[in-house]
Amino acid sequence: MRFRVLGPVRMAPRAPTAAKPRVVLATLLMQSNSVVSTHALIDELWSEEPPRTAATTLQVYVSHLRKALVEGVAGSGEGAQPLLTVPPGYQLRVAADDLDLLVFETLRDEGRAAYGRKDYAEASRRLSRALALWTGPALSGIPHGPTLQTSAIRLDELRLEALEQRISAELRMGRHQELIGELMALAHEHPLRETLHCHLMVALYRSGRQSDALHVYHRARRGLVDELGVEPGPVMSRLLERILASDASLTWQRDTPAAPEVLPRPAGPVVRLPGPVDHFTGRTAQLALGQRFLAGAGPLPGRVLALSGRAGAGKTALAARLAHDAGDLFPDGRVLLLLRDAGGRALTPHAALSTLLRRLRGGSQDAAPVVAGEPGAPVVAPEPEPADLLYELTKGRKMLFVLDDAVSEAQVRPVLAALPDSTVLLTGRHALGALDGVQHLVLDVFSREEAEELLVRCGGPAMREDPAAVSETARLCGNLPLALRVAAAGLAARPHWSAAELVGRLADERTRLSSLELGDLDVRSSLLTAYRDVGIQGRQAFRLLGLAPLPDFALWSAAALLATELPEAERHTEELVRAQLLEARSRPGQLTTVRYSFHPLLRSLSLELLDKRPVSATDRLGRAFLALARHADSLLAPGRDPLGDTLEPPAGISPDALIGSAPLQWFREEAAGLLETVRQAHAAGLWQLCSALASASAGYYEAGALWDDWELGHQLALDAARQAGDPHAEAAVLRSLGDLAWQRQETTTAVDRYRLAWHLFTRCGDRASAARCLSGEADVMLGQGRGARAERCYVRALSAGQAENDPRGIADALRGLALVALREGRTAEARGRLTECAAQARRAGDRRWEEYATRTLGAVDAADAAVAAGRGGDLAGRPLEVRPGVWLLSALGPALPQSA
Amino acid sequence: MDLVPELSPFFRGPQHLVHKPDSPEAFLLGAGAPVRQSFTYATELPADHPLFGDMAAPFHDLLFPVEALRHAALFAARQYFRVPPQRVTAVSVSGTEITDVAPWRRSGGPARIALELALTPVNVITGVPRGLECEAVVSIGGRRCGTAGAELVFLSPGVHRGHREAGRRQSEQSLLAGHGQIAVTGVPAPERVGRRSAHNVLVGLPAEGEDERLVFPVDLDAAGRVFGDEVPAALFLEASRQAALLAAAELHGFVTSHALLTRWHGAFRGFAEPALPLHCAVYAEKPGDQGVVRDAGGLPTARLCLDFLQGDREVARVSASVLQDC
Repeated sequence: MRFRVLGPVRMAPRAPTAAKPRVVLATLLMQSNSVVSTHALIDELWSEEPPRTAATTLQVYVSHLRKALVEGVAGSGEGAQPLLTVPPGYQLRVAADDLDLLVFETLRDEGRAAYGRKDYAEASRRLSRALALWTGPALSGIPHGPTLQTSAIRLDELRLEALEQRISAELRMGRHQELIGELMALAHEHPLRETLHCHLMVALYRSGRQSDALHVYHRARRGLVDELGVEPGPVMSRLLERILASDASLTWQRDTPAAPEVLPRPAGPVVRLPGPVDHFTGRTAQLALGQRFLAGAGPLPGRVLALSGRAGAGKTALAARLAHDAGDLFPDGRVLLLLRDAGGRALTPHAALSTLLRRLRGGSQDAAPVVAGEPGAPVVAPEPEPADLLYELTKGRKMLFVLDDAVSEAQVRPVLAALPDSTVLLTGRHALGALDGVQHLVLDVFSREEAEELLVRCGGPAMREDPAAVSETARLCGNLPLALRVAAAGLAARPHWSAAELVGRLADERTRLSSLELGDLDVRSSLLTAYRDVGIQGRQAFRLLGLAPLPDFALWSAAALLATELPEAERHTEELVRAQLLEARSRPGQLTTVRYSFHPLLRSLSLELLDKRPVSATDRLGRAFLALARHADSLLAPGRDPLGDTLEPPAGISPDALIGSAPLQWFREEAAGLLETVRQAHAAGLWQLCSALASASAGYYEAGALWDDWELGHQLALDAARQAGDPHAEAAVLRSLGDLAWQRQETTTAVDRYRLAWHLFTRCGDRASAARCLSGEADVMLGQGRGARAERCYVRALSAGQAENDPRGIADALRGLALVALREGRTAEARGRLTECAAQARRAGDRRWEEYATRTLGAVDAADAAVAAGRGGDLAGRPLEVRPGVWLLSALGPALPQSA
Repeated sequence: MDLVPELSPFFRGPQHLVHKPDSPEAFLLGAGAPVRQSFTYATELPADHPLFGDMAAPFHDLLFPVEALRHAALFAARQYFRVPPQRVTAVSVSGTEITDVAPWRRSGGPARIALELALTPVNVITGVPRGLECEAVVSIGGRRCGTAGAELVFLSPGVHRGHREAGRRQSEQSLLAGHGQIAVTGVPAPERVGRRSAHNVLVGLPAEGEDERLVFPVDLDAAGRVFGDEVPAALFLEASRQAALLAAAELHGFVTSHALLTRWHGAFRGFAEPALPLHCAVYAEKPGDQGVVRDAGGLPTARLCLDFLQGDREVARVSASVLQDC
């Protein structure tokens, strides 16, 4: 390099010692290969006050310069002189590689070009070489006229621009930590240079020095305000906001050149796993299975084990635990990658591959790159073929990857393809059954024992000391591991709480999820992720099905709630099942072979999301229940329900198809839901529906002596009938409540209810139903041993039943008369009454009553025969089957001896 | 209507026993298969019964649900499980426990008791069980407040007779050898054993036995007046209660008028003979802990063991708890 202007002005082998000739040289060099006019040179040398001999003196300087220019140059003849006189001035011819400025400009252009094609390493190299040409402030060591002054400023600016671009390239290369020192010096040297401050802020932020980055901003701002009276520009201000917001996109992501590069493999094992879970509990069998799989000793070959289960089931904890324990099996590394971003959105396969690649390269950050040539401006730099790079990095190595919270087969298939030699633990709510060669392990919620163990281990002394609260907390959390962990940690963190208090807070299912928040542990958020993954219709179905009765429901209930046909309802329920928002249980041998249910916390979420219970949905569900219950009741006890003709059933419900010939089983399977629907109808003010539902189920309650449910539902129904001002419904419910009190031996209550029901039925003109109340009251008297009065009541009931041509009422009264006759030893009369009772029951279509009358008749005959043979006493004191399945025992039998 | 037990005048109040059908044939035909079946029993608790109504403390008698269970189970065994009436029904294990004391307090008015019964046949041979496991949840006034259970065995008369004779011989021989001859030193006042009527006092005053035991003679003559000529399981419950109340007062200073038997579990080793002396040795369940624990409300409960012997033959071993209610 013969000429240098990027620093003190120099010329090889020797520059003129006098300043003025060097000014001429510098001026000519700054316009090398161009003609510089004499006037321009004079102006540069003497500015506005040139001497009278300026032109002559200039010629002298040029002469001196020419001599120097040819000194030491081989063949210094005429043609060797680079300084030519070319009107209107002089021209200095300089080869491109003889002037540092030209070399600088070449290198700078090349660097910019490399940067432009995202070859940041090359850009860094070119720009570094360009900057290395500088030996000091441009054009230093000589006085500056107007041209040189301008040139010096321009050159310094060029240098700074090149410097900034080099730094930008190197930030892109992930050299943020190495750049901090240089940037600090530059920022100090150029306190008003916002770009340098921005670079420094980014470098510090990426190095984990967020507070220092903020400090840089405030110092720079202070400088700008103090010196210029202005605020930082929009780029710097935006950068501040992003740092304050911990903007993930500000973090570093490597940009690579278009051409694949050969990646150095990590020297040691790469271990990127979350910390081990404290008090990891349970999952003994699953851990053992997972360990066998990782050791290659599982029952089936494979390199991918998929752990699926609902949100909060502990899939990640189990996978992480397996990975932590498998260091010996995977000496080249174990890496966990969450397949969702910070907002819970699923990563694209490309993003997953890129992030995984960075993990393996040792990068500390995962999000998209930000810094570009224009400082602070985000630039998305898609990584070319990360799958190929991953393949190269993992090929032939013993590595374990945990791909956490996978969403779909399409998301993970490219990742699995890029890791052909690695073992993978795949977690996700879906089983991802379309993946080939994958072993599946489904995680359910904890067993009760596991749940209670976790609560005791994590819940502190308050939990340990209250076993009842432990059990109840587990139940209210539905044994969901995440919920249990939050509940336990919440209690441990609040030593002033008791475990019973925690139970109290969890008891209300509408506020339960709010009680399961602790710091960043939030059950609701976890569950919402699953909810947001389904479509709009699925979400609507999820909300509405929260109204389905506990503990589970059949598909027809879903169809009623969703106001749709069964196939459409099944499409929705199955979508929710796949999303782990709903559970489907197979019930072989049952009338309803598949029943759906919510996990308790998902039901809480559903009710939370449903702003208010839509009455129309409750009405549809109630009508569906009513249609089915009436059908079943009519099969069990034809003509029993006096409210059998009210309210139309909803369309699409086919009782014959759903119940068939198994009414008892239908009631048994649906009883809990039926009662819950009575409650919902009452709460919704659907009075007529409420009382009709209760009345339709009374026969089942009576046959099964289900006293608690009977009482509960009928008290609501009684209130509903009174709210509706419906005396007929009130009478029907009261008579059934009378039957309940009679079964319970609450004689006074039974009589009161029968009498009130009789009055109401009579007032409504329903004489047949009123007559049955008389038989009920007579049953009470019979139990009390008041046979004569009972008989009079039965006679009245029989008379009314005959007048109304009510075979059921007639059969009922005849039964009573037969029992009175038996008690009083009139067996012949009893036989006649029972025979007629069986005939009337047959006429009513009631097989149960017909069989009852027939077997009672048989028992009378058998007892008579025993008496005649001297093998038994009279019938008067023996137990009586007073209604089908209901025995009246009038005395305790002889005491039993103890036995060996 | 047939194949039902003869009734005694033991308790004549009306009671309902409802069979809960779990199959179409049970619903339609009243048929009973030899599988677990459920029933519900209900009646009004007797207030003026000579035994069940004779309580010094203001509580309902724990004996009643045990007897009701026994009665209902025996009826169901014959009616629904087709156990022949000639089989001798005996109790091998029996127990009851109060889970909520409040409903057991007498309120002055009539109280209704209900038992939710589950009867499971065991050793079923040609469709007929040789035993029945009985479990019951007890409710008073609609509130669940206790449990009761028993294991019944249905013995052929010959087996029963042979077993009984063997036990009698063993007891007689040991009595002749001087074992189990307890001198009766007096009869406690009825209030000290939880009764009001002297007619119902079944134990004598205790003597001090070995290992800090109190030994009570059981007055089988008095028991015969209450329970009849045999020695039923109910007698052991009643004698246990009386001995336990008296022992709790003697050993722990309990005030009998506010003491309540809250748990009783008896295992029977053989048949007791009404004609032979019977005595009961009472001792703390866990030696060294003074035999008293306190519940969440701070009330003390004495835990006792009671061994019933005729001579040196143990006929029943009982575990019981007495609550000092206040």
